[in-house]
Amino acid sequence: MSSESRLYTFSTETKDKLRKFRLGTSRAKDPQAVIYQIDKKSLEISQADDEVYTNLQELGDELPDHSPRFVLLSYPLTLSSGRLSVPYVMLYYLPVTCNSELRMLYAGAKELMRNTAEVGKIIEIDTAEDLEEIEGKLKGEP
Amino acid sequence: MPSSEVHHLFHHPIADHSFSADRQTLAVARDNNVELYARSGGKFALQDELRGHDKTVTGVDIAPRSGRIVTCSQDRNAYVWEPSPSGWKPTLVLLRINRAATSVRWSPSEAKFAVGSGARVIAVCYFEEENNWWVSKHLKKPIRSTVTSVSWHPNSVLLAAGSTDGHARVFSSFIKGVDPRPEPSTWGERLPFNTVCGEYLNGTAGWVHGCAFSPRGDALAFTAHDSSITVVYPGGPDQPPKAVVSVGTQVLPLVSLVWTSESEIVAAGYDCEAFKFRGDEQGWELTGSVESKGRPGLTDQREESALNMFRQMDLKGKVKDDTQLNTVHQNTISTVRSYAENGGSVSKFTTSGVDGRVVVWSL
Repeated sequence: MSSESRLYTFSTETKDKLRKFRLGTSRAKDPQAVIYQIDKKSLEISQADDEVYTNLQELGDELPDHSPRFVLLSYPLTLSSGRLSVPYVMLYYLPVTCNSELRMLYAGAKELMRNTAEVGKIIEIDTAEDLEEIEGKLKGEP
Repeated sequence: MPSSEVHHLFHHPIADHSFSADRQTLAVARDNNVELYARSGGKFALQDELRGHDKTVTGVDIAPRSGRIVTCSQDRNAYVWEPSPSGWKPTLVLLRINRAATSVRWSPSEAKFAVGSGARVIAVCYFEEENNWWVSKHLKKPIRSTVTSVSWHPNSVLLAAGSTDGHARVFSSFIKGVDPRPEPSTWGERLPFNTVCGEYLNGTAGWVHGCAFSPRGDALAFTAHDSSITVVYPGGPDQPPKAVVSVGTQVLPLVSLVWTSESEIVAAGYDCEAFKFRGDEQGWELTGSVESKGRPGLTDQREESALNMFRQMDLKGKVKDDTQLNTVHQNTISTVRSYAENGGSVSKFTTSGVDGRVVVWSL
C-alpha cells in the first residue's frame, strides 16, 4: 500500500478539496458528486472538472465511454425505518471497452483513493446506466 | 470476350482474399497466417507473411487508401496490421466475443471495420485517439445466430449483415465522433447505434451466405442456402420495401456476390463458377455463367486418340479422363470481389476458392 502512495500523487490542493467535500456534504439535501481522474503521464490524481454534480443524469453524461473514473458520491437517503442517512461512497466506473493499461492504472490507485478520501464503501459500475440503481444499492446496505 | 487470369497459389483453401488499391499486392488467408503476394510480371510471388493468429484466419481486408490490413480469425481476435519500414506491425483488437470471427470488412471511410462472429454479435471497431486503442462496440439485437457476412453502405454508417438465422439485416453503426451525420436515405433518418433499418427473409428462411449493397446503396442483395438470390428495394424509413425480388436457381448455393452495376450482379459458390444476374425492381434473372464451356486451355490435355483411351482404361479403369472439373476453379469459390472499374461499373472481378486459386475475370 505504501508503494502506491509513492507512485500516485495528490497535490495539497486536491487533498484540501477532498476534505472539504467530505465534511461539507453531510448536510446537503440532494446528491453531491465529484469526478476524479488520474493523469496518465504524471500519475497525479485530481478532480476532472470543477463541478459538483447534483443530478445523477448529468453525472452519467459526463462520464467518458471508454475511460475509467473515480466518483465520490454523497447521497441523502431516507431508509425504510424512517431514519435519514447520508452515505459517502466511491463509485469505481470501469467500462468494458477500456484498454488494459488504463484498467491497471486505476485499479492500483483504488485503495489509495479510498483511504485519502476516507469513503466508507466502493461500488463498481460498468456503464452510466448503472447509476440509476445506485439508490437501491445504497439502501441495501445495513 | 470473357477471359481469365489464373493464379494457382498453393494447394490449400483460401478463406478470403483482398487486393491493395494499386492491385500490386494480394493478401490471401492461408490456415493460421496471411500471405502477401507481390505482382512480378504476370505472376504473383510470395513477399511476406503475417503471423499472429492461433487459429484459421477467416477474413482479410486491405483498406484502399491507408493500406492497413485487418484480419480476423477463429481464435476470436482481430489484428490491424500497419505497414512500416521494418515490416508489418500488428495491433491486437479486443473484440470481446466468445466465438470465432467469421468475416471482416473496412468501412468505405476506413475509420471503422465490422467483424461478424459466431457469438451472434457484430463487433464494430474504431480507433480511440485518446487512449491509443481500438474499441469495439457490439451490434447484438436481434441477431439470433452466427453472422456469416458483413457489407458496408457507401455512407460508412449502414451495415448489412447476413446470418444463419435466415435473415439479412441492415443496421446503423453510427458512432458519435467518428462518423459524420449521414444524409437521410431510403433506409432511415435518425439512426442511433444498433437501429435495425430493415430485416429480410428469403422464401425458405434458409441461411444467408453473402450480402452486398448496390453501388449507390439503394438496394440490398443477399444469397441464401436455398440457391436463391434476393434483392430488396427499400420503400422508405418505417415502410415496407418497394420490392423484394427473389430469383431461385438450379445451381448449387451461391456463397458470395458483388454488384457489377446498378442492375447486374455476379455471384459464385459451390458450383465452382461465377454466374451473372441482371434485373431491376420489376424482376431479376440469371443470365448465364461467366465462363464459356469448352475453352481451349482446358481441353488440350485430353487427347481423343485410341491410344489414350486404352491407356486410360488400363490406368484408371475408365474410358474418359474426367478427374478435373471443366471450370477453372476445381473447388468451391468462397469470395468474389471487385477488381477494376470502368465508368461506374465493374469490368473485372476476382474469385478465390477452396482449391487455392485466385482468378481475375474480365467481363
